[in-house]
Amino acid sequence: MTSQHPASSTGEPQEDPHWEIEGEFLALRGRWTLRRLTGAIDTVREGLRQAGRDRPWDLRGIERLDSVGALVIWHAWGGALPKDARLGAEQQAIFQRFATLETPSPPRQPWGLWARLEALGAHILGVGGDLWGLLLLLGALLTEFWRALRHPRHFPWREISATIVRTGPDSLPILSLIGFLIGIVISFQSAPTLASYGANIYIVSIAGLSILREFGPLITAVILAGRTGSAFTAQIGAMRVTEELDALRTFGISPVQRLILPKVIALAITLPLLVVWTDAVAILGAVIVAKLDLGISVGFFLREMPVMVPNFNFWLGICKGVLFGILIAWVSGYHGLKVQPNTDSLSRETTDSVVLTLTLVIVIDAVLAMIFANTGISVG
Amino acid sequence: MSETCAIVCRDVATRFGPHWVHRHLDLEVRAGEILSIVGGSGSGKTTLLRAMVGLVPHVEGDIRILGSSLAELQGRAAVALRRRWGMLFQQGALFSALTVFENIAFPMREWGGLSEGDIRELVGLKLQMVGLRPADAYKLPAELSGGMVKRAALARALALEAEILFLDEPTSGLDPITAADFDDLLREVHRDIGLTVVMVSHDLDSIAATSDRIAVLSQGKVLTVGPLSEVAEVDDPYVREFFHGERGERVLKALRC
Repeated sequence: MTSQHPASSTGEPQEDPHWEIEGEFLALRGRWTLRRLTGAIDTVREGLRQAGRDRPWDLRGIERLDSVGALVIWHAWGGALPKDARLGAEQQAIFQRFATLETPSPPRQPWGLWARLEALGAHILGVGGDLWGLLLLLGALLTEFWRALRHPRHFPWREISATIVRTGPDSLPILSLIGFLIGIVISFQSAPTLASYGANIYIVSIAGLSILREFGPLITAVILAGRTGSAFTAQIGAMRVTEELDALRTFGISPVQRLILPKVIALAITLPLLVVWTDAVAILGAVIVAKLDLGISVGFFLREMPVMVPNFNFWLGICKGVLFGILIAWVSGYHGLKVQPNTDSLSRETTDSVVLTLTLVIVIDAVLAMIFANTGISVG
Repeated sequence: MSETCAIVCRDVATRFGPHWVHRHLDLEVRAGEILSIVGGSGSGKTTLLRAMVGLVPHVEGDIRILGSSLAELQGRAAVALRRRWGMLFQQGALFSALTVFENIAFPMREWGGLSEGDIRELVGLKLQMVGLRPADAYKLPAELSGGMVKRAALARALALEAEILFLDEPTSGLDPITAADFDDLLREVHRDIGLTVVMVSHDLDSIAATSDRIAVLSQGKVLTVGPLSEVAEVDDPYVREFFHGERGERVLKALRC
């Protein structure tokens, strides 16, 4: 009698899968399990194939046989049950399963040019669908707003108030840090050039214009899109996953009215206020650098700024804030409603929401810059 | 510890903050049996199940699974032990971004040592065992019915050739016919593989159809444990309500017949 222990790495050789030649039979012994076979599956399969060639098999001495062990033996048999194999009743059952097994094969994917065309078409349809969906949501928001104005008792005051509290004061620390640094950077970058031309006082104009007109609203919108817009999408999306949106609908309450409209109104109020705050801290940063680098006093800076930077720029920044606030809540709400009941969709829509919001904010900012190119900029 | 015990809980205590869920809980699960844990709402059935699999820490006592103490095992040894059991969560907990095939193949790929060809055949075998068609393999969980989700989740729980199977309310949310099918499937899998099953359930039909023994939890302890006919005779308000209500009497009558 000969014996082989091909998988003896577990420290308990008496239980390892092995085989012996007993008379004319190849007798299998030990535990033919995933844990015992791991790391030696291919070796065992090949060894078994060689050892079992032209011999009848006896599996009744196997202590434990799981699916992996059975698969290895099945492969050694060449995918067919030998006629003269000696098997226990449970072993019969598992090999019977292999005999009738239909291996799942992935659905055929389109390929080549056709697949690319299909992907392009799907992408175009997706973008078109998003634009149409955003338009529909805008219509629904206007309808709900009009309805709420006509029935002030049903106006979502509490939701608006709660959203303002959550989005406003909580954003102040990050906006303070970013705004202050932006003010410092603008002043710091402009200072050497201005000093070389002896045009130090123009730091007031450059910093004031760029902060009030562009950076204040833009930075605030970017921070809010990342911080609050993504949270809106995730919140509404999670409510979709847990069927809370469906529960709202069963009470006859529109999710647009109760969830998205309050966020749109709240951000239309909060964002311009945050723009004012960002403007203030950014100008503080600019003032400090102007004093240290160019010797311009704080009093002179603050006195001259209203003269050199027309009020229009401040109000343009505020209007941008309102517009960006509405945009962030509108787009994030749309993507929240678009979430499918699975986690993958939730993460994808949250990402898409932030990306689309940031893109639209920058596009709108560029369009406004072109429209108001000659307005609010004093020359000389 | 008895040699034939797959799980031994000794003097186990669990808590959520100041609230004790279990105190001085003792329970033994015999190797190869199907044990059902029943109890009133809030009696800590699911928490006990989660403590057994290490998802909820026990603050006192000892839980030994397959001879190893959960509290003593760390690192690789703990991971190796965890891979010796499978769990079927109440809602299936299939990874929603993965297809059924990928869900079942996931633990096999993480285990390593199996070729993609072997994994494909093993996934096919698991699907066949739980009564799903090969065509279902490339569906996403969202495209499956409740019964199919449970079957796919069972296939995933068995992917690493589990020695112990933990089931949390396996028939909840299923219609009676699908639930009865699942009970048949559980019995078949138990018979074919010979694993130990610990199940939390409220479904008396399911418990009666599948369980070898039943443990009744009450006030954070195991009130009684034994076969259905013995447990049903225990003098306790919950036992009376659960086993001797209209439905309980019907099930017990059917068993006696």
